[in-house]
Amino acid sequence: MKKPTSIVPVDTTFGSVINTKSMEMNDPLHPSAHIGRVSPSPFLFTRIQAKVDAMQDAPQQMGWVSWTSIAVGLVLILFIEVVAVRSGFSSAKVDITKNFSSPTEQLY
Amino acid sequence: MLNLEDTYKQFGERVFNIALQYLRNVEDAEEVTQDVFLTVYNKQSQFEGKAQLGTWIHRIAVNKSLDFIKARNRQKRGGGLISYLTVTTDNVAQPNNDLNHPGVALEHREVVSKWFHRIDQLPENQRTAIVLVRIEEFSPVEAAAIMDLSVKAVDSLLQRAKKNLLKIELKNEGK
Repeated sequence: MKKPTSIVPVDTTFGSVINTKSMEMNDPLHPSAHIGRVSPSPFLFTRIQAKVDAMQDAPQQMGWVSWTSIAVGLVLILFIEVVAVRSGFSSAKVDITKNFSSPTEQLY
Repeated sequence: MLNLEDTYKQFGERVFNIALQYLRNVEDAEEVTQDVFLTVYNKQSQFEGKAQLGTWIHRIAVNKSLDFIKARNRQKRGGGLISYLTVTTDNVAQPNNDLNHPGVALEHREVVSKWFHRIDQLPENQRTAIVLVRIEEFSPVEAAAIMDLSVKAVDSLLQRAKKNLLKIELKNEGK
């Protein structure tokens, strides 16, 4: 019987199930599966640009709104002051012309 | 003045992928990406040019992703002042457990989901080191610049993360 010219070492691991768990345990920092790169939605930049445009318009609108609210506030304060002063004078008049009835009021 | 379109073309995909590795949800990752570029636009005057533009943008992406996770956790706990005042013991922000990651093939989804679940139990800085170096494949030098740490510190974080992951794995096996 003819002998083989070279004896190749038998691959004992061939066909056997590789213990993936132990491989994973060797490098726990690796997810043991490829995590691919993902592209964002093609409309994402449009949405970002729209927000930026809205932000650029917002300060002008804010300026207009704030000046108007300040003016309205000032007018309102002035009106309240005038009303208060007027009612103060009129109530003072009433006090002067009033007939004091109680002894405490008569002291003043 | 920063050209937003050019900046987005250059860094948009990377920013989106960083957010996706943290949040594992496409919609959330897009929301964070949008927030990152709005911050970049608003705070471009604050960029001093000491770091590279990419490093600055990627750092914003990491911070915004972690903030998003914290906000989501607060919402889950019920939100409001009480959740702000509640001190957590381990400072670990727990991301969403539902894996909606198009970068993971369907047949690997279970394995990767389990791996992400283990990663979620790590402290923020260790998780960030893994996301940047192992998933996003930044060099340790780039990752160190993004995290504002030394290369040695990043390496140390990865070593500690490795030890912690082995502990978590053993703990899970013991259950």
